[in-house]
Amino acid sequence: MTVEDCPLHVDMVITAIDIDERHRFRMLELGLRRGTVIRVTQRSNFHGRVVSKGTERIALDGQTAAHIHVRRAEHPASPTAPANR
Amino acid sequence: MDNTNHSSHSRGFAALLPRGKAHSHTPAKPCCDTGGHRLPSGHTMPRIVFIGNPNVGKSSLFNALLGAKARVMNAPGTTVLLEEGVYTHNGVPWDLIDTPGTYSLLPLSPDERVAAEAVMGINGEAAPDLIVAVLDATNISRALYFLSMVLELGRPTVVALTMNDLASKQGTGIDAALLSRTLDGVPVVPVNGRTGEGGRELMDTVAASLGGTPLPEGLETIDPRHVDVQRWVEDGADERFDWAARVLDGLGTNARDRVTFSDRIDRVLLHPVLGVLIFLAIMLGMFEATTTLAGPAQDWVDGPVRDWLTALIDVVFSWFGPQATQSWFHSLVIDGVVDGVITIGTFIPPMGIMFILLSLLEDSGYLARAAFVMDRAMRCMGLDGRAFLPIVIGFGCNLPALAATRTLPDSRQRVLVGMLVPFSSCTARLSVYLVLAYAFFREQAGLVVFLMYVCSIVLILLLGMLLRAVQFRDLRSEPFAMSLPPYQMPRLIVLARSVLLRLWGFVRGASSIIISMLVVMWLLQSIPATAGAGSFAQVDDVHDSVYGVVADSVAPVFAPAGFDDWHASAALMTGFVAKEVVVASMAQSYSIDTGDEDEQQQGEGTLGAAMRESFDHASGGHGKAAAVAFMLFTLAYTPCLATVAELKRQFNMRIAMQSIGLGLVVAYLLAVIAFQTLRFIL
Repeated sequence: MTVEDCPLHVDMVITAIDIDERHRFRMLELGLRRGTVIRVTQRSNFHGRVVSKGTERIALDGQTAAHIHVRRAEHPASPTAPANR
Repeated sequence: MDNTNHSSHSRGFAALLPRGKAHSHTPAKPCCDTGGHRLPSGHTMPRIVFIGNPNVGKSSLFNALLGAKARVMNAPGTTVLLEEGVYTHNGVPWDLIDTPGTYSLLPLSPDERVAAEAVMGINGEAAPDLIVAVLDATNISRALYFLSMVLELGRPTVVALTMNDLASKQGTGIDAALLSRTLDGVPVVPVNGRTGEGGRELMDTVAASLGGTPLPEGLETIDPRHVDVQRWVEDGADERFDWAARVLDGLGTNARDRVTFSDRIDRVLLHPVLGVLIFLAIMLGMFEATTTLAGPAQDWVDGPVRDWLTALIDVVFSWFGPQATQSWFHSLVIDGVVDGVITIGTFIPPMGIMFILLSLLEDSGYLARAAFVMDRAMRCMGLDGRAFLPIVIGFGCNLPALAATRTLPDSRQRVLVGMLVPFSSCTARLSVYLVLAYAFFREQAGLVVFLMYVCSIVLILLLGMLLRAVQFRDLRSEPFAMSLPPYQMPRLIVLARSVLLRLWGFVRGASSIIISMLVVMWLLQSIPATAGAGSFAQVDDVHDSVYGVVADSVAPVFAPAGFDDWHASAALMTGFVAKEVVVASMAQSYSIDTGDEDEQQQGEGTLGAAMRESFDHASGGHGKAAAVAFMLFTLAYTPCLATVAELKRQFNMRIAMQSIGLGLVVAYLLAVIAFQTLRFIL
């Protein structure tokens, strides 16, 4: 499952970010990295998504959203908990 | 803020530590302690660099501190915009520099590179004497990660904490004193960039911190001049995130996810269908505001204000005798300087309205959403969704459209859009289309005018792709990932201040080039070039002036386009100043008084007949094809002098000259191709 096709307002854990290294690092700097708990709060045009991470909101275009792999969070977790890259 | 009682920076970093604070950590290490007044960089004036993530209120804070003293400039050798100004604190001048927003010191764009180099003091940039790290309290975890990099640079650093009011509303407000303690004494000052609240305290803290600030436990100082920045940033990322998480734990902030007010608004404004419709409605509203709403005010400046000013100058000249009002100097003042002042004045209403609307969009937080909503549509040209705004506005007036390029965060995109805007067919060009369309295509005049707008859109798309392939090859479609700021209610006072500052910047930047060029035009029209043409500034027929001679010599250039005629070339030369005067210039060259006739009456009347005769004669009987070529030339070449001045102000003279050159080449090629093709049909 990816950010593009995951349900709205459900805690999801990022399992992989499948984009080039340069931009993957930028995602990491934005706080989107493997193990981070996020929620999709809004679907926009051309499959764009807004994800929330705590109080932060990050807009992603459809192509990028389709390359961020997620799984459903088993336990509600702090979205700011440290995670591995 | 926790260090306001330490006013002397001569005591170094120790003075910054709060009295009686109870640290659970090991003592903080000094990152920089000069121990006196000598500046680490050797500057005579302390260099204070502001840095932060995009949309954190950094520039608002900077402008609140400096006001009209801030000046925008290009970073050396680039078109990246930096703001700089001298701030005087207790009689001591400081050099304040505002950098473009960036998420990292490992840049992905030229703007981010300039920001990173300014704060690191590398690649020819002087090292800052102090860094003001502007952190958004609503995005504190990312802000702390960014802060960790800044602190590791080892320069004295003060944290300006913005948007804490919004964070408090979300239940995640940050205690600045606690944050400072958690950062082992790094000064933290809560500020409100929109109101300027906290600005004085921030500057007091800067004064007290110039001698040095602590480096929090867990971070290591590096010298950016002697490390591989990419390795430093990438290899230390995990440790920095761990450090940021520890700081957050220390703050006890529980950033729980919940549906916010902004989320509820975004359900509508970012809706897949509604979001686009609302965006287009906002664009239409801005287009209307900068044209329809500004129109009467522009007419007022060009009419009554011009008359009052002329009358006032006449009165002043009459004090020096009746001959004074007949002198060349009077003509220079009225037809050169006053014309320039009025030209600038007529652009103040649309520019003012545009600045108000831009400030509203920026302050409210909508502009970041607009980039997201239109991202896909503009991606074909490698542009940000926000590029849609200036291009649409350009169809009203190119000048505010160029001002709107400021909303683009990438300097390459700003330049590309700035070069495309002049091809948006502004309303001033409409008068030329209408007169020629009614003169040559009476029944199909509406269709012809419509097709000119279609040509304008096609031209923008084609040139956008061409420029991207030739001049902007490094402008790639990047993945869109942007932090969305929470919505905020714009503040009236802040709005007024921002609009006035921007308007003043426009007037200051554009006036010299507009007035000087109009004086040159006046001079060309005032010098008699033929025998019996009159004396200096008293030339009866413009054809007998140097201006007329130049128009005559230019006219043959347009033979391949079908309008080798001095009336046409003179009108195009005048159109370089403003497209509004092309028709009037043509009427003047034919010695026709069009009085109060509208464009249709002019096209169908005496002026139209004179133009048909001229164009038919010049084109060998293909007047309609020549008229289309003339309209296309008018569409594509330099819109007006004010646009050139604004291009120079927004970018630099080289870009302004490039834009003029591109416009002339494209206009000429279009006109020639159109005439050579259409003469077989029309």
